[in-house]
Amino acid sequence: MKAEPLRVALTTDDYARYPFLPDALRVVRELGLTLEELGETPLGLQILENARGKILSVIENGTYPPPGGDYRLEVSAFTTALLILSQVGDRALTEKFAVAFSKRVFESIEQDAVRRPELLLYLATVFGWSLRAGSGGISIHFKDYVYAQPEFTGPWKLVNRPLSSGYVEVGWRELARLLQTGVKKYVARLVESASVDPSVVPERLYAVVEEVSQKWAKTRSEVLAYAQAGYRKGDATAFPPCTRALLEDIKSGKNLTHSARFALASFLLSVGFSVEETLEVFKASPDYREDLARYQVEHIAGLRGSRTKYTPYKCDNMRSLGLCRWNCQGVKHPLQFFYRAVRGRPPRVE
Amino acid sequence: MDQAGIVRLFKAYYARNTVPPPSSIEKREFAFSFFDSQGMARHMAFRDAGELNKFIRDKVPQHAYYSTAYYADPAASDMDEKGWQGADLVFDIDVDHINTPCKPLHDTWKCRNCGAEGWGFVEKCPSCGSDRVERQTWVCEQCISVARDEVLKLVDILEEDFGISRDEMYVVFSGHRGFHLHVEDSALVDLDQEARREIADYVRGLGIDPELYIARTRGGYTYRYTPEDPGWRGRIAKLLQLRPEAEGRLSRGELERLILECVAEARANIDEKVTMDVKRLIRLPGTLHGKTGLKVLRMTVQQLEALDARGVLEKAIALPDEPVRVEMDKWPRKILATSLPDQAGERTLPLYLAVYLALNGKARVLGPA
Ligand SMILES: [Zn+2]
Ligand SMILES: [Zn+2]
Repeated sequence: MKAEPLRVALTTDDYARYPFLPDALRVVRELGLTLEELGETPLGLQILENARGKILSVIENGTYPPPGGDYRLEVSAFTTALLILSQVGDRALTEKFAVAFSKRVFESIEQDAVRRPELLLYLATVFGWSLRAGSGGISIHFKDYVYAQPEFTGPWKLVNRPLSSGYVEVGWRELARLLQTGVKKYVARLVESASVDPSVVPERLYAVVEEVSQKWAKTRSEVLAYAQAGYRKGDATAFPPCTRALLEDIKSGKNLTHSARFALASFLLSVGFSVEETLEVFKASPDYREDLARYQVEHIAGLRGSRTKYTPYKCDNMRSLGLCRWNCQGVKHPLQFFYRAVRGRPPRVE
Repeated sequence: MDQAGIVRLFKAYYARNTVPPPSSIEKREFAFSFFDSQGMARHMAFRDAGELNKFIRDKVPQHAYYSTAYYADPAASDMDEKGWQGADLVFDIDVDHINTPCKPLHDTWKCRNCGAEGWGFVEKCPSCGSDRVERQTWVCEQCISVARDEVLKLVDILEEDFGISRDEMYVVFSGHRGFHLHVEDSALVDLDQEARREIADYVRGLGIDPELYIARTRGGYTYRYTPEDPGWRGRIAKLLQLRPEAEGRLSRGELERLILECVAEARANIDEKVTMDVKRLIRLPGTLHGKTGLKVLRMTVQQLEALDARGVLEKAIALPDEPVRVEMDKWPRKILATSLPDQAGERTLPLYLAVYLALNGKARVLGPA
């Protein structure tokens, strides 16, 4: 599957579902819409409004809206959203957008893994991955595998995979999951390369950039203020019981296990604690080592290594790791508990 | 012989020998330390082999290093301004981290807390538990032999599993306690730290979850894979075949323990920090190791396979072998390829060995025999 381009029949429906594909972008480019028109013509304004809605949806509830019927609008709004994000220039927002977008795309990838797997191969070539189709299924070069690996433990860890002559065997569903990370990183790269000289950005578009920046800053600071106030007061009621228990363990001088440390650090970082503030929390543990703790926390914060920001474990995983023995109503993820509590509706705990 | 004498020997070596430049020399950072000063001179760059050799001949460094990374501006003093462009994939095998069976013959320790002392390798003082332990370590033929085996295991994993060709690897004897394996494969230079960590974990067999390797059958558990399976699955299967106790149905615990024992046998014992570091300085082949006087020796994988540990050491001896008289308080019983009968005080040894003892320990070279 090297240099030979893979032929896949793409429909306009595919363009709407995979708006980052070069073919989709080409179709929209053929519309000949200029940057100035985004702020002026009725079509331009419609695109701008749609892009604004997509980003706000990501900020407010962490989801990228499902694709609409008009593929031209869908693709142009997507590229306009990238442009807005590159003007905002906040890595955490770009990351959040890329994550939400890749989750939406994953739904399509999963369907296509069954209906027409050749589309998955095509996506891989768009990302520049090297694949081999063999008798037993599909193999991916270890470099691309590691780049997109969603987890670094258990069945996903490279050491537990069949690796031969540089290629890792994967199943179709696994390839779909790898492609989700691929989409996320690809979109983050597109934002990076979407830069435009701010002086040529039309005023209407710039107004959206400012609105998004403010909303994002406000969301972040509100959440952080809430979390920190709770932590300082010592009641931390915004935190789910599992996280509160970890905090109490640390304060009472217990050494946390590796997974407990990860759970706590990733939670605190996710609600807006800085690396320093997170380290401050860990200082109480008896086996605290500044250098090691800093390395781990910076790693979880996405400042090192793959630069992925890690999210806390899901409730199910917390339970299987022995870190949670509660039942919070209607909650599947510790952060969900937190965000509800922030909005004044903390879930019932059993 | 005092330090000036040793410097004269190093100077004479560099006058006679040329240090081959690393690939893409103009993109590498160089660093040196010198006999007469503390610290390290870093952020140096050379345009070609001539410039590098002129510097080494003039300054006669005690230690010489270069960066495994390629930089747009290797001489920039700020790491962020160097412009990182990629890095070789490097593995470090150092017997300092491996408890070789010969350590009681040459290593000694002394507790700075309670004064206890003894032969061999300890991490903590066995009498008072303090970790303020001073260690005197030496290298012998057997140490190098252990390290050599680790390199060959590593080469196999990289070749079979990662598909990295031997032509893109070379081995360096560090001149002291072990080897470096360098991979210069243009497709892999841009691997980030996380990817390098996965590779390091892989060759160390770290993170193997035995549960994924076993299947439940009637009356017990069996290993799921065959020797033909790729990766660790087959590697473990091959070793299990050599163990009669692995036949038949076993309890889950027994089988998992056996699997982990096979992993321990097949893993390559590398120092993962070196592999993960994309901005590492590493010893420059062709120079002398300033703590042993041995040559940092570059060779192909095939050359390492053809040599035994003694052969490696013989090739690394770069200083003259004329006999000199040496005096030392506590002699190791084995050092390099030489066994020393138990005795205190003065004895006659070849000059290169005397220099190793003087550089690394407290030996005094008294003069020609
Ligand atoms: Zn002691
Ligand atoms: Zn030894």
